[in-house]
Amino acid sequence: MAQTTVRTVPAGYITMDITAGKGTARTITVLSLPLQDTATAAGQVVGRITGVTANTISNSAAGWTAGGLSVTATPYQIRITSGTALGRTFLLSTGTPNTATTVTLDPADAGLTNLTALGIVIGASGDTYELIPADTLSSIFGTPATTGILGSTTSTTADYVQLFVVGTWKRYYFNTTSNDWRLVGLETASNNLPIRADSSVMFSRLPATALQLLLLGRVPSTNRKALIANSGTTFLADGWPLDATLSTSGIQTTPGWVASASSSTADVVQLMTNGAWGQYYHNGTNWLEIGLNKISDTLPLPAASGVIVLKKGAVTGNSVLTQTIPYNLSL
Amino acid sequence: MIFLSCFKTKKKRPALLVSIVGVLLGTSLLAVELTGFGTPGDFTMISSTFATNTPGPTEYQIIGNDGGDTILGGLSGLKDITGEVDALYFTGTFSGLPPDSAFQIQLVDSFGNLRTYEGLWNSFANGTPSTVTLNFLNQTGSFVLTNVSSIRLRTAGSGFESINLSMDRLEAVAAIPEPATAIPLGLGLLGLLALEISRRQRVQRIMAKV
Repeated sequence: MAQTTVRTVPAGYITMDITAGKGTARTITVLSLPLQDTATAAGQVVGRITGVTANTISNSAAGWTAGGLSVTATPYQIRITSGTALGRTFLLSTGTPNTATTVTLDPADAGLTNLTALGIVIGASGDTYELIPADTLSSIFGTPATTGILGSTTSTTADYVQLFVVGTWKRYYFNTTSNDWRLVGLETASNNLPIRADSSVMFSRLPATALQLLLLGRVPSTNRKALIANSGTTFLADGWPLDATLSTSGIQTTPGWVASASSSTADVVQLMTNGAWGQYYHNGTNWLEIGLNKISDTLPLPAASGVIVLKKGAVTGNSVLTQTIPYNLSL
Repeated sequence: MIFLSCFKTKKKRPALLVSIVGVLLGTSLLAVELTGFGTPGDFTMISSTFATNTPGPTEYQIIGNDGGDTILGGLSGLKDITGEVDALYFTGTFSGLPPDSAFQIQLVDSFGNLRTYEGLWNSFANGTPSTVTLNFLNQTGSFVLTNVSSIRLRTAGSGFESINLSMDRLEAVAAIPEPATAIPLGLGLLGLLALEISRRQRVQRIMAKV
């Protein structure tokens, strides 16, 4: 990605525009959360890693409040900020409370990665981390009164938010009877559902009025490593508060990415363009639009948006997309 | 008859009656048929991500979902939509409950420029043939109206809803008259029709006497 010089870690807000619905039909807007909140937890919110197991990270001098990083309403993520795992971000478990020195990964994240296999260096000169508050459905999308989203007693007449959670698409809406966010179908209370930094969100708007949501926070200050499933769907966040393009996203450089002269065998990226879904594949040289085969390297990926990655292979596991920070920070 | 000569729809049907009814209902007098889908060679699939693509003698069936499926097909020669640029009439039969999302049909000229129209799936009836209006949205480049070579259908939904559509006909039409204009015009056409019938009856009576 092109480098832009920035003298400090910028903090502020970005506006996320949600396209108006059709009144009787829905319009989709793809969103992601490229700004990060400032951690307010007690103890070292940035520090050095002194121990690692398959699913835990320790800092013997952390001084965290036991359970303070494991509150369901205010979940946390941990990002590795140096070493070979630089840019990897994990959601922390709320089911297994943290101790004064150790945090445990959320089971979904732990199921995808064995921390001991990442080459994390521990000890006095070990790799570093930062704690980042995770946004939730309610912290981002609020209530009808606070953000203007359409709630209802039933999902069919409400706006809804769609996430790809542990390999499955799930939809959530604001139920005006229970006055909280609910999972469509099972009606599970979901106010505290965390939205991972690397994931996107699909907002399905019904009323014929647009919405604007403000996202507050700091820009990411490290490179990024995001997981892409080797087979099937990944709903990938754009990741940065800057516009990018298909080409500069670097998705085509993901290890194991299948580029091909034929769209029927190539891996595919799907994104909203001009109000509908477009699908694109890489032929080894350029991104091309399926069907028209139009070169699409410069197709915009707006800030705070995302893409659906469709990998056709049958290989299990995940590959790591590495993105270099697209601006220079001089602290 | 002036109003017969300007009726450009190429599909065989009772053109006069359809035009009058169409005007009374607020639809366009003029139309250019882009494809009948079912006619062999009238719509040739170039690429599709729909799970099922079934050409038939009178229709072309697609089955998939509304979360990204798309189909691109070539037309039988270049179509000229000059003067018929404001909307598309899309006729087909939707099986099942249509999604509550939008979709687009893009006309593609022979230079790759796109002209995009947007409609709503839930404008289709469930299980019975219906015609849905897609309104013009935008275009890319200098779209050449005389050179429409292919069409592309794009979905815009969440992927949770199924699509099972038998596509029957796609027409390009001019601006849809306002009801205040359409009703008097339709009544005028009915008057012309009555005059024509009366004239033919007089001719027949005279011929009978001869």
